[in-house]
Amino acid sequence: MAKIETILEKLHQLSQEGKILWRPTVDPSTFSVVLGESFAHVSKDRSGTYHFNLLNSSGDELDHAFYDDSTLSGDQRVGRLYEMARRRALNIDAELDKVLVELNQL
Amino acid sequence: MDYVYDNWIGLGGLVVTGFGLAFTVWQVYLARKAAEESKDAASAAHTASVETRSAIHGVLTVADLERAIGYIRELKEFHRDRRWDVCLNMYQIVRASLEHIRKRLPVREANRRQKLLEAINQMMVMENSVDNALMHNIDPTTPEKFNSTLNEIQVSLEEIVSSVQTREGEVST
Repeated sequence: MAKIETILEKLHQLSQEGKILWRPTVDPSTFSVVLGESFAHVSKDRSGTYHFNLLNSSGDELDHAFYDDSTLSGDQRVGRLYEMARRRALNIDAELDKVLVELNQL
Repeated sequence: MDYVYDNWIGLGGLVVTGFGLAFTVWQVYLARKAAEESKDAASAAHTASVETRSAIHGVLTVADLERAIGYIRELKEFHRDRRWDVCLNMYQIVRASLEHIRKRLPVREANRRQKLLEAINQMMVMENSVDNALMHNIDPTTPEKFNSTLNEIQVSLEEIVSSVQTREGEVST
């Protein structure tokens, strides 16, 4: 398995366990996390393609991966990680719980 | 005759004593002046040594921070004016400036170093976002959000300015 694939796997697993702190960014379709002196970005572009970029603190790209939903090309893990990062960064589960509580009180 | 002779001796003694006293006062004045000059020289040498040490070891200065704050102010103006081509250059300048500051922050200031890393990260996202929009001939639509993030970064830098000024004050006293 290539290193980038291992990193994708580990990030997904650690995000699921809540050990990775994904954050929203100025771009609503990009979520990021600081990993030591590096950054991981997951984003979704206008054509629906998911991107995963690893960058160093100078902004140089260390590695990248993508997944295109429409052609099913690239690494599917990128799409999965994007959805996980989005849920974590926007605290979606907690927000949904609040909505459920509201609904149950009606 | 003896009386006159004694008076002359007494007067001579008085003149010699007066000269002696004046000479002593002059010597005390010179010694005090020399001590003050030596203290000033020691203080100047200390300041020079601190400045040299700062330059050699890459210690953060207020000038570094004020330069970065200036870049951020300019960038906010460019956002308001939607001068995206200029912004693309400025993102790199601001990022380099933030990285310069981060590397010079003491390791014990882990929180501030982390905040700066996150600021650098946000600058990268801004740059990518504008770059992608321009590549697709779309006007980037969120300069207000960009500027609110830049305001947060500016506040962090201003806090660091205060702490560096305090540190420089402690060093010079």
